[in-house]
Amino acid sequence: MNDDSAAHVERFRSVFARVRDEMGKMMVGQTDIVESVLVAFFAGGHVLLEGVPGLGKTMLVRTLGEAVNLKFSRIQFTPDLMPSDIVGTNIIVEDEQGRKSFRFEPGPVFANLVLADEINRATPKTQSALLEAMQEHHVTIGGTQHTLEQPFLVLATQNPLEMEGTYPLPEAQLDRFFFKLKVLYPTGDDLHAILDRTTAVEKPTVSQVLHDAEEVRTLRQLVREVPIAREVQAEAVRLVLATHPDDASASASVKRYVRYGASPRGAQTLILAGKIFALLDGRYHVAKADIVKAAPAALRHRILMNFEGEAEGKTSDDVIAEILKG
Amino acid sequence: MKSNPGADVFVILRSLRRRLFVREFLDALAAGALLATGLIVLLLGIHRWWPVPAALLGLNAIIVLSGLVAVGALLIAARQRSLAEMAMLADARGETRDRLITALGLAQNPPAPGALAELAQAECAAYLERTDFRPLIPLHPPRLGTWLVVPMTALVLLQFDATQRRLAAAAEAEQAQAAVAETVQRIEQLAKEARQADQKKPDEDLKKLAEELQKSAERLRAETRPEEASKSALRELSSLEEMMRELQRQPSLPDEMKELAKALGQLPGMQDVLKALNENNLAEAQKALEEARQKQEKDPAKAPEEQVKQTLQEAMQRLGERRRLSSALQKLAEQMQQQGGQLSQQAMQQLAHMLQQAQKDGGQKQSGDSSGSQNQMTLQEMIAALENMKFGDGQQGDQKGGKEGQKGGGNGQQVSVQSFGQPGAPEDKGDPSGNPSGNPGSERDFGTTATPFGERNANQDKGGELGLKGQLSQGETLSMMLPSAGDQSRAARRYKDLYEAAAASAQDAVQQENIPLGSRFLIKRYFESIRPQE
Repeated sequence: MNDDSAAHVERFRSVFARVRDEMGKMMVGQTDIVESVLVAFFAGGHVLLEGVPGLGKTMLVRTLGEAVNLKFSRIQFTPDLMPSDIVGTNIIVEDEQGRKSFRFEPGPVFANLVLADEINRATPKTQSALLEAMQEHHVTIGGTQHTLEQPFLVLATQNPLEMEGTYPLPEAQLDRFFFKLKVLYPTGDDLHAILDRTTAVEKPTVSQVLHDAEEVRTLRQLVREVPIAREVQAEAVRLVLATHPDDASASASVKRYVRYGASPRGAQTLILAGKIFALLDGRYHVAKADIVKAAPAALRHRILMNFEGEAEGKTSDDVIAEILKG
Repeated sequence: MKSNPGADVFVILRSLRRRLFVREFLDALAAGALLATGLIVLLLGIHRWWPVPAALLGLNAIIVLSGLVAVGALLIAARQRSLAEMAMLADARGETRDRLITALGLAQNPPAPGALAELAQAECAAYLERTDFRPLIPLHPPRLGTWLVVPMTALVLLQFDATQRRLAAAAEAEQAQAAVAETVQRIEQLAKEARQADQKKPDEDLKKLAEELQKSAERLRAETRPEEASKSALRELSSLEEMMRELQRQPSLPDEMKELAKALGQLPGMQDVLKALNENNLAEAQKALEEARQKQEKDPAKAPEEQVKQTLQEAMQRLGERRRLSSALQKLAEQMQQQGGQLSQQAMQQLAHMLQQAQKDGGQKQSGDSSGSQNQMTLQEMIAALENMKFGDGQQGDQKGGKEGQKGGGNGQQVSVQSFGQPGAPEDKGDPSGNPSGNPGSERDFGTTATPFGERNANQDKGGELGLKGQLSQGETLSMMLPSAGDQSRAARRYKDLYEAAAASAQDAVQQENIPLGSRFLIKRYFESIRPQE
């Protein structure tokens, strides 16, 4: 049985590495982003990507869908986007005998990989429609509940520059994202590589690594089997509690600049991501280093800064860095 | 794979815990030793200038301190750590990726067979087996131990310094003892003579004198500072002299006064004078004598001149006998002085003889107060002897001053005492009455007053308000005598108070007056001149 477990772990590493390599064909640089998206994918979480347009966010999601052979859909969020545009609607259809009936027409959310582009441009009503899908993995239309196909992964993007006319995501919705990743501008070498790959005659192609969704579910189950010692788990608890200004372990800057700390989902994220990092590191148990590695992406969108913190230019990343030091 | 891979982690962690105990014990011991030696150095450093109790620096104190350090180190190191704490400590120190704590957790709560946890346990066990964890808690001499060199070096230097100072002090003490040995011997001889005189004719004063002489000798023997030895000898002699003067100030009148009282008592109309003299109230006696004189002037027939002359003549004869003895003592003192302050065996015998003679004279008189009078004589003679000895000792340290002081000696019984105030001692211009002369050092040689401010005198009574009649008008002027700074510095404060109280009203008065411009400067200068110095 141990041999079977070892084989599963080995397969997980192999799949992870191959998917990463396939995505690397299309995504130049951004290795951390790619790896983090894959971690969230295998952990069953959603990802919020923050970055300026043109950095390959859509390409990232599309490539992932191709590599894991999952259904991919893209939703461009705009202010006039309605919830039904996302989740689908009942339409009247007429059969050959002329009888009319309602038929559910699924929206783009009915896919394995959903790219919610510029999610902060939609109204809160539309955003909340996606909220139910993200958390409950089903949508309710006309009193009928429609379960989403598994695996289901939402990759939302938002532009940090054009904040005019946007609807910032509420804390409750932010908390539903497994990771929040900041897509940075590529370096000069990366830009050269991008130009070489996209302006030549031959374009890179992505190979399928996984063949069906069942494989993904198996690998996700394997991740959850990774053991973690109580004392190591305590490190995740410590980190989350340290983000709360009311907690005794909170540092001076947390008490001064933080309004709300991370939710328990933050601790869950730390543990799940830590388990994946442990497997990728060739171990079968979680170490504190794995949790620390996951902390910035897992906690930065779960820490709400107060007015003073924003006024002084403090970010949640600064707070997390200080907590990790102490 | 091992059958019980978790067992290894317990062995490893217990081994690490033992090593940590040793390590922490050594570290705590080094820190404690550093603190203890630092404390000792501090105490020794303080002891170099300000003596600390010997109990704090003795061997017992060091043993107790060492024991405390050892026990403290043991208590610190014996702080029980759980295996989980040890695992976390080792994981934090080494690149174990939390394998120790994971292995411990999996060993304490074995996973279900087939789970990924079993794989993790096996992986951890394999890691533990191939890894040497001892370097995580190395056993090496404590780093703080090297810092022990600093206090130890300081200790050695302080010990060396203490030894040197001890040797120097011993040499100085020996030198000081040599300097005062002769004086000590002489004082002891005097003490012996005083005791013998006291045994022959018990008297409280003589007994007290003998005790004080003996104590002075002992104090001088304890003197360890050579530069202070001569001064100490002089101080002791001065204190002895002062003490004997105190003994002289008995409630009974001096012999001269008694003789005078007897003589006056034989005269008619002198009862008031006699009474005042017996009460030792000289002012009242003077007043009564003045009244008696005025009465005699009014009625000369009542005062037979021959009777008065005869009575006074008898009194003078009795006083003359005492003075002859004093003259003999004075000669003896001069003889001692000529011998350079050395009190020879012969001089000692003469001094003893005079004491015996005085005792005999006192016994022959067999009067009610004869023993007191005799003791007064003895005391005065010894004062003279001490004075001479003092000059002799002073001559050892300051030959010139001593000789001049002796040359300045006057006549009579109190020649030695008055010699300090004689013009023959130019560098010693102190007031013969004992008041400070204002010249530095002049009061030192007297040593005859109980306080450094001198004896009370009329100046002490200054400061009271006095109403004076005006010279040009009928009104009175309120006069206040303010003592100067020389009289215990009372004037400065009181004058300042007075000035502050009066300055405001004075200024108001000046402002209200129409003062010519030319005079304002003078007035201003006047007020500036009377402003007290800050």
